[in-house]
Amino acid sequence: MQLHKIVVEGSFGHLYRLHLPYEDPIHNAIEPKDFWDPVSARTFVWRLQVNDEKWLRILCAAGYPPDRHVNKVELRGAAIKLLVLGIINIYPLTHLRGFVQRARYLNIDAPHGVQYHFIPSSLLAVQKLPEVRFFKSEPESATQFIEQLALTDEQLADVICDLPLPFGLKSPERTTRITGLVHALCNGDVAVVVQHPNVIPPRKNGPEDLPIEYYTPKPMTLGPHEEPGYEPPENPHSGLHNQAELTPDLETSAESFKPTRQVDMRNLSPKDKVVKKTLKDQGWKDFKVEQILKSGDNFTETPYQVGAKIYGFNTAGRARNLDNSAYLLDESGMAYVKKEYFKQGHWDKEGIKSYLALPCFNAASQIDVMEVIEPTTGIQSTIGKASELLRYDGVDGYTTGTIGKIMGGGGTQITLGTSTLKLLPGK
Amino acid sequence: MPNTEEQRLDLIENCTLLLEGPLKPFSRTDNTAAGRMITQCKWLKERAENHDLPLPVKEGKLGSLLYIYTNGELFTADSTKEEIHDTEVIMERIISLAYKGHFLTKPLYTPYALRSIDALITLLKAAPRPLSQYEQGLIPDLKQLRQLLKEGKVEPLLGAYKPQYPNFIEVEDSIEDIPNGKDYFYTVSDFIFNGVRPDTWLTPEDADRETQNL
Repeated sequence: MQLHKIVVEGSFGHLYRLHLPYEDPIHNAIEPKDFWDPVSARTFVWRLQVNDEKWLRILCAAGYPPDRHVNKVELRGAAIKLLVLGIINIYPLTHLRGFVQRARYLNIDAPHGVQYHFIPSSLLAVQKLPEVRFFKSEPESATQFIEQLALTDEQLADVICDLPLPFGLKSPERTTRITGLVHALCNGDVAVVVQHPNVIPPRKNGPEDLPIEYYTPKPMTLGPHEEPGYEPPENPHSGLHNQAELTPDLETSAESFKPTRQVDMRNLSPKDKVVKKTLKDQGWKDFKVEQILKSGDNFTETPYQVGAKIYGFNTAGRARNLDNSAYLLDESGMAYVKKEYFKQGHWDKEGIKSYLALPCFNAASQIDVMEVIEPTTGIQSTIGKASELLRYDGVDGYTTGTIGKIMGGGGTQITLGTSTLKLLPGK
Repeated sequence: MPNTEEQRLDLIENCTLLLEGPLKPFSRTDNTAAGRMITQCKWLKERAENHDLPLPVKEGKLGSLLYIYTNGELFTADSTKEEIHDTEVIMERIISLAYKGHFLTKPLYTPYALRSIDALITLLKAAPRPLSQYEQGLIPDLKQLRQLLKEGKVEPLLGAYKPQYPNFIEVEDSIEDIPNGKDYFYTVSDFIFNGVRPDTWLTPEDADRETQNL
């Protein structure tokens, strides 16, 4: 059963919105709690007033049902993983912490029939509002905006009374109150709701609102079953990507393919600096170098001689552009993929996509074989974890609904110079 | 981090350029990278048009754009170098605006980029230690780029340092120990190779003030 708008209580009575993958996205100006550090996630989860049964229901609803007999520690361990990966997001409800949630906020008239009201930004974690204006790090704009409203002292007192101002709430001084409001606007704790006089057509919130299209999946073209007359035995692999009658639908979700490693290009570690330099020597642009660094770990340099074979998974029928293929496999990497994911004449596409962290529009239904044409140094790395939200629709109307997916990665990828390869035809 | 009307309009313009240009022949299906990019661009454009896209956009919302761009998923073996260049420039501008929250370069800001190049050349010449061969090689590179930029013969963004300007690769890290070296280097290299100007260059007047005493 799907759960919606779960609010949970943490330590000291603080309340949080727990956002599950299938729920409507929350306003993107509202940041979820950051759990890059597993220790902080563990502390947070264990302090929540959530019993085992509720965790079980939450994990099931999130698309990661645990084993029926898991214990208290394992249940919370699973929840911690989903928090760290951003599959479940936590939004602090600061407007419910020491502040009364108001039934309505004071509307302030502006020219042309427009009305504004100030809200605690965390309200957006539980409520959708048509048009919201933020002044994050814009003190001049915030000051100018408040000045233009020409609030009376009475209006100002009403506006700020239930807002999370850093200071000024109890001050009798108008200037202190306004400065406190400007600070709250600039640090993003307070936002302004804009109401126009005319009826505005409903606004689309993201790709999930766009029409869904269905398509017929192309048959798998990998492996010896392409040979004339060959009929492979039944596909032994489980997983949605191995179901011929199911197709992924990406438009159901605003969240898309997301690698999980973070790097700061202006402050790289000494090891990452070496990798960056090699990648730039290979002809890769700044933006691409950053994404390659984020996609993996344990980077090493590996020399390749002329004639070395390089492989890439692709969607059947697509002719790869060699100058822009950043994520490839060498002979040993490919041999391992084949050993693990080619069984009884079938490729386990689900397994391949997870092992290589391929995004959903790569169907992993074709293998491109390339050859190194000049001696070169490749950057080898262990593919990192990635997550994405997706939905599978069957031709009979069956749908999985939106589900979160963690791709474990772990495969070995190679990035080579942008002009060191040729595609071998007919493979 | 800036979050301005200029960036909002630039984002709308560049999303439109992709949608009406390289993506126009494709339909919005989910089993192709082009189809997925249409969804990504429409989402960004609609949000920006509705004044509902604070910058920078969270990385998770840009995953399709970043992966498709990095792995050249929009291109095939038949794509020409010009097609690839023109499409990637638009994608890089969208990435600069949406993912990084930066300002794009505009011809109005070229005079201040020229000043920054002059400042970087002066800084290298007055360095408190002997210059490496790459740092020495960077000076004529900078002079050449300055001339091309001044005459309008080169339009930022140029993309990769290689093959024309390999000295930038080495100097990017070696210049860190020269006071202000890193800041001056990235101001110049971001302007020319990544097509973005510093966050403090909000207007030409700001850029003028910022570069007057370099």
